[in-house]
Amino acid sequence: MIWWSRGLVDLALTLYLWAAAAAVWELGRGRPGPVSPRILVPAAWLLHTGGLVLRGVAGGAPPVGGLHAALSLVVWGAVTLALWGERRPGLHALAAFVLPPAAALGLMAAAVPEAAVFRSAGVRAAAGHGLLVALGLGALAAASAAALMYLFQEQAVRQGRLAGVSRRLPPLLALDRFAAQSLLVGVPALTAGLLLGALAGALVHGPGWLWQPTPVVAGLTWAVYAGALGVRGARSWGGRRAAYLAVVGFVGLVLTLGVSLLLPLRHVGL
Amino acid sequence: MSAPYRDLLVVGVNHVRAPLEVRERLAVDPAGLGSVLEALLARGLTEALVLSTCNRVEVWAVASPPGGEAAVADWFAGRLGGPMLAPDLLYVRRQLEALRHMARVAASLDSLVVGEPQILGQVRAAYQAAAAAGAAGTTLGEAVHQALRIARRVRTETGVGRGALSVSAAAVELARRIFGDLAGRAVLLVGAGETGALAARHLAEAGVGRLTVASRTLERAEAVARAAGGKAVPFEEVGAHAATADVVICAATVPGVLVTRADVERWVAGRPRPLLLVDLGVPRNVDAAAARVPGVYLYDVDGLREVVEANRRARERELGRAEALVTEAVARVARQAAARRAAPVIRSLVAKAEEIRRHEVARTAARLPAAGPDVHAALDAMSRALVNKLLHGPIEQLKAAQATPAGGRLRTLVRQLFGLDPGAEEAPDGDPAGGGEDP
Repeated sequence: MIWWSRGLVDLALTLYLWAAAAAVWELGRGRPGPVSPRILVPAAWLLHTGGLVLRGVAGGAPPVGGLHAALSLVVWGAVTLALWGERRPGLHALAAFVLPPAAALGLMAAAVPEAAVFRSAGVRAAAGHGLLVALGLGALAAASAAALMYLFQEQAVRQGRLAGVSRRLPPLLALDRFAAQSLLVGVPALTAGLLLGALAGALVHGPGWLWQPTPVVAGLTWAVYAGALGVRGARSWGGRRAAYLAVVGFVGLVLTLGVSLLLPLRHVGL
Repeated sequence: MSAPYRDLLVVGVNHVRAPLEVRERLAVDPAGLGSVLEALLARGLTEALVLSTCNRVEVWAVASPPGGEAAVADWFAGRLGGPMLAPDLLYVRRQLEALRHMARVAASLDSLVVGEPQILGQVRAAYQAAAAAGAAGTTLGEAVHQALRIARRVRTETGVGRGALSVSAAAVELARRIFGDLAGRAVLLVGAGETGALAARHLAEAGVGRLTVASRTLERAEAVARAAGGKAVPFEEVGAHAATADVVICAATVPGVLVTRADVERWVAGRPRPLLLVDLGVPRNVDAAAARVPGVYLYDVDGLREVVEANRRARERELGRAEALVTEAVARVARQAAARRAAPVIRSLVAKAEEIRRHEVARTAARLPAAGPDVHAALDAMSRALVNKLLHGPIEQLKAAQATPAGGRLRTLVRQLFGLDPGAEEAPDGDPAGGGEDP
């Protein structure tokens, strides 16, 4: 079953790569290519969902028991939000910004061995941590893509460059709202996931583990996102400042992921 | 040349060749169009329409050469009330070149403002008027429809028609780029002069949700608001309305700054959405420092002109693609029209093959008395597939060759090779490219 799951996910990744190229081509050239990303992305997403479900069924647990599966789930979360966003009025071209990094992450996932990094150490919280963090990361990846689009579009609008790529990007308000909604999905998931991770790590390695680089960087990144959500709500901060915060937060998340998964440090369940 | 466009002709003057004083004397007003078309048909044209806009006066016609163009040129001279029009003012396009010209005109590639949208409607209206007067028939109708079809492709597949080309339209475009749909948006217009009224009209046409007009003279505000479907308010209420507006357009004639940075900061304090400030005043109505307030987008007249200029440059960059699309589309029309010349030969060939097939199937079936209906059906299907596959290649080659000088020879050869009826109708070959000239 794992073989089938891997096959479906790899097929989905191929389609994501194709869709990413098609979406970027469409954005740059302003006319549709031979195959529309609006067909490729849903097809890839269905295959991807099937692959993850099979993996979950085979393992009897959420499909986050390995680095490959966890990264794959991050990609799934980001694409899910992009799909949802593109069905909303005015939010076109989202795929051109979400799919290239998602597909790159998918390639990373494909390159790592099945059993890499976290094997369950018997802590149930570790599975919940993996699932929530992966989904949160996916949502925050979509938020940062929207934020990047916002910054690009805002620069064009401020400079009065309304022709070219700017014409094919969504309006500023739609991008800002999508980024805010993605934060509303991503930050609570990330918060719960990190809390479960801290609990699992402390149970396995002792309370001293909380001062390891992984939880410290994760905590700092969480603070950026919590701050971004807070100022959006309390001080009505939107637009450019919120977009910068979303991008900075996502860089922090990528750093956390890199530190915790790729360096030889102790992760939650190891 | 294919039959449908062999007699197609365009004769006209435009803004490039003829000065305004010539164009205005040649212009045809809608009330007099019927008699003009009558006069043109009386000169020997088979079909005619007159396209009269501020940039051009053209006669699109179906007429047998060479008399047709001379007749139209004579008509132009008659309208000028003098001798023949100076040759360098008039242009003539024939056959496929005429179709290409019609498509370029309809696509607004030949307009003073490239990509302006009105010309498409003007061409359509000119054709409808000619058809209603009984002056446009099948041939001209097909050519106009082809031209309009190509023009619509140019507008949707290239960027020649995109981007605002006036200051007011640029303000609307900016508002759309910031807010998206303007249906639920509130707009406040400060100042009820001509510039402000024009901007208000553009915004109303763009479908803004609520338009409020404030002016020191309430009567003028009311007049502008009435015309644009908005509401007039006293000037003293500007602050209160600006705080809830999404777009504020300042177009008042005042000696100094009307809106300070502090005013703008007050308007946007605590609001989650941006504010578009358009300053159409000269001297400027809004303190330039207001542009630094977060969430505020401020454009003055020069800023909007830069937007317009950038749009104009972007349209010009698309011209090459648009011209290539027109050329390719006209060539395709020519190929399709040419392929129709082979239709009689193809019909004869297919009929003969079918006759042979039926005969041979019947003979074979007679030799198989024990065969059931399924064998007969299989025999029929096999023979049909065999004939279709054998004929497909030669038929396609025959069609493709019609756009080349070898087309006629190939038709004769096919007739001779297959012993087809030589009496079937044949359209004469001609110069497939058509042509144009400046008399």
